[in-house]
Amino acid sequence: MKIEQSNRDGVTVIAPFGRIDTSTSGAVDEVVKQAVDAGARDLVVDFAGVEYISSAGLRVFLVLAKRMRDLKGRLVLCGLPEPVRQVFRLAGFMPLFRVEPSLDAAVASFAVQP
Amino acid sequence: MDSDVPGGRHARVSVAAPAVGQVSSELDGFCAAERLPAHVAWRLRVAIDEIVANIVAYGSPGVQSAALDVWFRRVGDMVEITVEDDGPAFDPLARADPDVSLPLESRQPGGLGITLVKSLMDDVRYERTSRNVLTIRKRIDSAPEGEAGTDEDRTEQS
Repeated sequence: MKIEQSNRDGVTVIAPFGRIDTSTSGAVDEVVKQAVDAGARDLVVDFAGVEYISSAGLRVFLVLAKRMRDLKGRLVLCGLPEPVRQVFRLAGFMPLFRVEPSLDAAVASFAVQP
Repeated sequence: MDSDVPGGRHARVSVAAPAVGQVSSELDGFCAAERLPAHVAWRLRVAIDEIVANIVAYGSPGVQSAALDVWFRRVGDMVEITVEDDGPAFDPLARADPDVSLPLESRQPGGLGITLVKSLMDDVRYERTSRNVLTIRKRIDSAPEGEAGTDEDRTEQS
């Protein structure tokens, strides 16, 4: 699957494209792990290009959220399309993450929020 | 290993890691052939991903050349998918749902798959014959608010 990584104003942005499921979640996990290993502490995951997510993908972001908390990093999710939002809601994930509507809002949120 | 059957589609695949992708491809073909709306198709895709991944993870230990069968059918305004495997009797619906209200530190990854299946489908049934038989049904209804959009534009990526 295509996974883009970029840097905006010191914030690491990871944007997976397509389906995050059993077949692809390993690749997403690899990219986020490497980014955090490389020192990323302000991290945005942009879901705008994601078609849907299954529990294999939820696992990746639960583990990431715990790791970022342990490292005192900041993690923001953005651009959740309705199918992703729906699955996050059903899994009770919405309260576990900071969620912004757009990438711009996500990047800007680091400047104003601790 | 797949064929069309009257009123639907059937696939038989080996119980091994590639099964998840193989069944997912079959489902893509079915969704395209039936022109299912995007909001129905993604729910089916998530449900099938969970079900087949579970069978691959826990199915048929020690059984040589274990296979699973999947039947895709459209029955009126419902899609019905039946998945059969030869693993030990296991009713996924009998398991308690994980508590999805716990804070981050108490959350464990895992256990969410079947919860999602039950929430995303209109009906889920387990039956033990000589095999495990899991049947899911999803009504082809109108798109929930916020999920408007047509079918074909989302089905290309893989």
